[in-house]
Amino acid sequence: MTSRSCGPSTTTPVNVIRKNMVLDPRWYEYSDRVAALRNGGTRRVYYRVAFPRRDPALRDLPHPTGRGARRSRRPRDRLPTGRAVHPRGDVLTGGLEPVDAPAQVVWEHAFTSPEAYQRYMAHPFHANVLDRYLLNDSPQRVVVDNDLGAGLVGYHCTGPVFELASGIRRIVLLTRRPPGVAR
Amino acid sequence: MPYVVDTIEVEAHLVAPYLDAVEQLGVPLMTDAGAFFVSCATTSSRYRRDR
Repeated sequence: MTSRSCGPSTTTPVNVIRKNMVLDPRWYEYSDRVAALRNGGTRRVYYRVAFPRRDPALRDLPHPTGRGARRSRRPRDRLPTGRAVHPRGDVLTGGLEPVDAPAQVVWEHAFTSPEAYQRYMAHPFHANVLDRYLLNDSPQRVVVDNDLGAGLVGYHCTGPVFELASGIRRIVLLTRRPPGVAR
Repeated sequence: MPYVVDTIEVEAHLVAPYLDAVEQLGVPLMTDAGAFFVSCATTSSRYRRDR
């Protein structure tokens, strides 16, 4: 087992670093090379922030299960689902911190404008959470290789509009162990 | 300042090729993209597997 650590400089945001990497032709050679050599692994993004034990802003979020009488302090129960993404973004950052229970992140995006989509593409969530499971150079990738360097996930909707009037749509991605790789 | 920490599982005989790829391809790529390399360490191959 090996481990490596890379830290971005103080002057370049990590989402900009990510963009620079995936636009560099060398990234495709590098990610293909390391993906072929590894059996698996994990990727974590750490920030020097303290996760608040009781953040007053979090109390305004709807509970994912609808149980409002007593909200759990476990981070996975505090994560918003559907479109209830907290505008401060602290929830997403805190979800990446080491916690005593696995965080379960469910996301689905609809964009109100091209400008909103551009903001999303440069948001740290894109680099810190989404790309962890999609990019070829991430040891936690759960999608297959393709020429794009980022595996994409598609699913069928029951109607012509994917937006749900009620409830949630949950997509679960599982890693298939390559043949011959023992655990 | 965020830190990206990857923990990689590789077969013992592939550790050297993996580190070569990180050193020769990954570090220059990430450095040019704006990151800097902090550290890299391996566990002993005597353990073979960590579980």
